Amino acid sequence: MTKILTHEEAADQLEIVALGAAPPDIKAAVVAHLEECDRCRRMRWELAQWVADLSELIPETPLSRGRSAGIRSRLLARAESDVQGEARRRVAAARENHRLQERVSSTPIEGRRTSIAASDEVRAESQSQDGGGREARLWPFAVVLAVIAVAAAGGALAGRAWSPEREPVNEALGREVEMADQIDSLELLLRAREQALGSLTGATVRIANLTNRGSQGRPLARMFWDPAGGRWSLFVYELREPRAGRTYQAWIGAGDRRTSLGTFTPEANGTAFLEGRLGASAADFRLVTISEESAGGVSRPTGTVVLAGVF
Amino acid sequence: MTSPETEPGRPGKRPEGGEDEALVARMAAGEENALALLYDRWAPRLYSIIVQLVGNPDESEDVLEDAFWHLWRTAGSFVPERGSAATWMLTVARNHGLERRRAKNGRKGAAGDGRTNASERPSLDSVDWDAIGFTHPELAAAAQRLSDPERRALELAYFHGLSQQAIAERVGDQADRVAAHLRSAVRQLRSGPEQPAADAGESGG
Repeated sequence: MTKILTHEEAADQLEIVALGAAPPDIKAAVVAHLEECDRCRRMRWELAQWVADLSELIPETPLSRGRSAGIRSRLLARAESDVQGEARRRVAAARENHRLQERVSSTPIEGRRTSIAASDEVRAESQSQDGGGREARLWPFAVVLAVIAVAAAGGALAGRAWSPEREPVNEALGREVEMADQIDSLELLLRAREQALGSLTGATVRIANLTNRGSQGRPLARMFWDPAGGRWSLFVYELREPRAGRTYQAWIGAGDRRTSLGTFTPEANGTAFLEGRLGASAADFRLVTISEESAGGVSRPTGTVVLAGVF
Repeated sequence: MTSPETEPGRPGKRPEGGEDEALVARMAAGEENALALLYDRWAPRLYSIIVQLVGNPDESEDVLEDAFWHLWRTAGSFVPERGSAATWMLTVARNHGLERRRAKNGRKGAAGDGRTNASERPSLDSVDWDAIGFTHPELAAAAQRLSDPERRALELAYFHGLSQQAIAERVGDQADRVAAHLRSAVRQLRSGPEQPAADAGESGG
């Protein structure tokens, strides 16, 4: 049970709480007092500002550029997932609504009208498409769901894009779905780029330099792999075109095990880029190779290994 | 000190008024770009605060990420009338640093005395007020006017993140007296020694 403090007792603790030094029970009691005391609340905000300003006295500790980039990438990927969850829910709601509207529009239903006060515009629009005077067994269900779905779309449709006085409902819903799809695509693209960056800069990223006998240790390709997130990127810097009817195939593995990372043909300047994701079962993989295989690729490496490296 | 592998922080450099608040509002609306901009702007400062409290750089990076994630998740609860976005972010970073430090002490401490592995323990050295005086002469001068127990209590609480009880144990004093030292130190630094008592002690509310 939270202790109850008088105003004087609580006010005397404000500095200690602002510094983060108060015992938990005292802090809880002060917080409870702040709920009811404007003066102490204002003082608490002023003290918070003062304590924050004191941070300018703390000497700077540099944050490694690479590690900072890794933190940033992870944060953005998490935030992106967070937003995507919301976006997916909006898209699902809008799609479901659209589907229901189309179903209502295309279903001939006979009978009396059903009155739903909150959906006059929706009903009027649908009636105009259907010729009017129709009853709906589906009507109440569909309209209520439509209204809920539009509301779930975050108010964007009702507040900005959608003007019920001026445009048909289905048209507006169609645009909402289309816009949501476009946002979805852009978000996926951004996420992919952030994750690619994260796979190069994360604190747990492993790097393998791929060489061959002729390169005298100079890497001709480099692979970055973050086992924590699974993302990998393979950059090939210098590789001649494969022979006719052949392709290059990248592999990762350990011992006798090999997993294909995909086939590729370098650009005219000898470069190539591949990326993807590996599951947790790949955690012990150490060896990366590129071999020349039959066009189309093979399930197990059989051709000449042209580049190899280890993590 | 900046090495090729590190980027300089920007202590003391604050963006134009309202910029941070606008970014927090955009973050509350789900704009990841706003998070990226706030991170670029504030990560060096927040990291410095956290590493001061936590000590271990690797662990401090985790705390920094947690703090920014907290900012992202709770941006909708930020109320500009209660203080600036800068205050909010600095407070969140400090609280996360304090939590981590105390959790670590709780795990590793012997009989609750806050002892940790020497390699991970932040220094509890006295603060170099002379150095602070180069950039904040008034504050440094005011700190020099504090009594030794007041100044030491403030250093241990603010710069080293010790609780009132931990400070009492460290300096061998009673917790109530430590609280009085802290209160007095803050009031003097905020108001100057001529006006030691702020209105917080007045009756009302």
